[in-house]
Amino acid sequence: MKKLIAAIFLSASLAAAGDWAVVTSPSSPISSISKADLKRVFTGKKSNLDGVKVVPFMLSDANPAAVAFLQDVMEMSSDDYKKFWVDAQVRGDGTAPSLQKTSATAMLVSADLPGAIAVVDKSAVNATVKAITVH
Amino acid sequence: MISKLPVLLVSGALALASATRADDATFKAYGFADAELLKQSYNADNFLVGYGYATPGMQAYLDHVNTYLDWKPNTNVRVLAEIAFNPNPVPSNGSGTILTADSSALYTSIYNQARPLVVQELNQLVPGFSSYPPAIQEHVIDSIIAGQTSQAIAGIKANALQGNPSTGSKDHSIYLPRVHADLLLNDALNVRVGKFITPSGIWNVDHGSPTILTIKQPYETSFIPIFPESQTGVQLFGHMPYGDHDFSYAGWITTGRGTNDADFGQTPRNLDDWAFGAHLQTDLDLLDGVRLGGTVHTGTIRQSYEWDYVPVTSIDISSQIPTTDLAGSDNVLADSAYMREWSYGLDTKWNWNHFLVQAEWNHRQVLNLMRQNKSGNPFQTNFNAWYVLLGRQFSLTSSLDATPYTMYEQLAWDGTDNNPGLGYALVPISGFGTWIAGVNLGIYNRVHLKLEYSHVNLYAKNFASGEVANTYTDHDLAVDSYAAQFSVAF
Repeated sequence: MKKLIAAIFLSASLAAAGDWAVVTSPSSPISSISKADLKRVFTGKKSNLDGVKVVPFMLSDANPAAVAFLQDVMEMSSDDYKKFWVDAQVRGDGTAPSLQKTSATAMLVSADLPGAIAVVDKSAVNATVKAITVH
Repeated sequence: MISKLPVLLVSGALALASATRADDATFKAYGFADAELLKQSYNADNFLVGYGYATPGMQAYLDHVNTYLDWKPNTNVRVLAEIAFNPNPVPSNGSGTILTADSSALYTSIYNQARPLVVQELNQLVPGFSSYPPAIQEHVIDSIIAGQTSQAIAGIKANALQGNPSTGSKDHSIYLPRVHADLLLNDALNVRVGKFITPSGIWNVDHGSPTILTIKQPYETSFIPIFPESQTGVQLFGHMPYGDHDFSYAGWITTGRGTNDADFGQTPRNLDDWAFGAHLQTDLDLLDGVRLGGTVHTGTIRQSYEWDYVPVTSIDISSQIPTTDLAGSDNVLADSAYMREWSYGLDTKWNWNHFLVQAEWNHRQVLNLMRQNKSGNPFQTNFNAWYVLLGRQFSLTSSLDATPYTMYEQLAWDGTDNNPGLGYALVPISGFGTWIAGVNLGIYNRVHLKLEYSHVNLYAKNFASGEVANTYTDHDLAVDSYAAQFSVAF
C-alpha cells in the first residue's frame, strides 16, 4: 500500500515538474502568443510583440520546466538549444536569451519589464507577474 | 525658478535612470578558437609547393582565435566587432620607398643638369681642356656623367629593394572581418552600417569552426571566394513570418572588393563603381527544417596606379645626388585593370531525423571593361562552383555526439587570360575537385574534435611553351591531406 501511494505521489510530482508557463509584467499589453511566435522569440527571430520590444528570459536547464519547454515549443533538446546559440553567435545573429537560475528570479526580473517574456515553472507563478496564454 | 532647478535635475536624472534600467544595456564578449594538425601527401614536383600551398612534413598551428565584442547600449542599437587572429604574417613595406623610373628620361635629365657643372670643373682642374679636340672633350664629359648617374641610379635601386615586403620579423597579425552598427527598427527592417560579412549562401556566414561541420571550408567561400567575404557599406535586413515559415532578406550598397579580394581601399569614383546585391531566404517548417536561399551581387573592381613625371632640376656633383622640383610634378591616375563582376548563388539545407544535406551553387562572371572582342562585348572570365555535403549526427552520450560526413566540391574557371588583373592568367590549372570524408565529435556543445581526409584533384592546364611551360597531369597535381582540428567556442 505504501509503495502504491509513493508511486502515485511520485508520478504526480513528475508531471507537475514538467509543466511550464510563460509570464510577463502585469503592465504588459502582451496577453497571448502563438507557439510559432514563441519559438521565434527564443531563437532571436522576433523582437516585437503587440508593439513592445520583447526581452526573453530562459530558465536554466537544471529545471525540468525548461527542458519541457524546449521539447514542446522549440522542438529541441537542451543541448541542441545551446548549440543553436553557439552557431548563431558565430554567424553574428545575436546572443542567447538571458538565463535565470530559478523561476523566482525569472519572475522578479519580469515583474517590472513590460517586454519581458519569461519561461517559468507553472507551479511557481504568482500574482507579481501575468501568465501569457500560448495557443 | 532657480530653487526649482535641483528638483528638475533630480527628477530628470531619475527619469533617465529609469529609462536606462528599462533598456538594460548589455556588453558580451565571446568567440571561437581552433588549432590544426595537418599532413599533406603529393608528388615532389607539384607546383603548389612553389606557390606555398603545399608544405612537406607535419604541420601544427593555431588557426583561428576570433573574438566578438557585442554591445547593445539599448534595445534599438547593436554594435558588433569581430577581431580575428591571422596565422599568416601580413607583408609590410620596410624602410625605403618603392620607386620606378624611366631610366632614359632620368639619364637625360641628369645629363642636362650636370654637363655645365662638369665642363666648368674640367676647365678649372685640367689646364688646356678647352683646347682638346671636341670629340675627346665629349668623351671625357660623357664618361664622368655616366659614372655619376649610374651610381645615383644604383642608389635608387638599392632603396627600391629595401621596399620589398618583408615577413621575417613579423609574427602573425589580426584583422577585422566585421565591425558594424545596427539600428534595430523592427523585425522587418533594420539598418547595418560599417564593414559586414556578405550574407551570401550558408558557409560564408557560418565561417567559424564550431559551426562548420568540416575542417576544410569550401574553396568557393575561402580560397577563391565567389562572393566578397566582407564588404563596407550599408545593409538593410529583416525577416517576416508567414504561417509557420519564415522569410528573410538582406540588401546592400558597398564599396565592393579589390582585385586581390581585399575589402578595403576601394574608392568609388562614380555611381557605377558602387557595388550592390541582395540575399533572399526562406526557412520552411518542413521535416526538421528546410532552408532555401539565393544571392546576387555586382560591383566593379579596379586596379589603379599613380605615376608622375618628376624633372631633375639640379645635381650635387660631390654627393652625386640628383634633386628634383616637385612643384613641377603632375600626378596622373590610370587604371591597369577595370572589371565588373556579377555573382549569383543558390543555397539549400535540409535537416531531417539528424540527417543533414547542404549544398551551394555559385557562379561569378567577370567582364573586362578595358578590353572588348570584335563584337564589342567585354572579354570575360567565368568561375563555376558547387558543393554537396552529407552528414548524420549520432548521440553517443548526453555530452558526446559524433557526426560522420562527406563532401564533394568542384570549382572551375575559364577565360582567365581575359582578365589578367584577377591574377589567375598564369596559374597552370583550370580548377579542382575536392573529396572530403571525416567525423566531427561534439563534446558538451562547445568543444569539437574533427578528423578529416581530403583529396584535391587539380585540373591541369598544360602550357606548351614559354616561361611557364609544363607537362603536368591531373595525377601529378593531386594532394591528399590528413587533418585533425580541435575547436572550442567561448
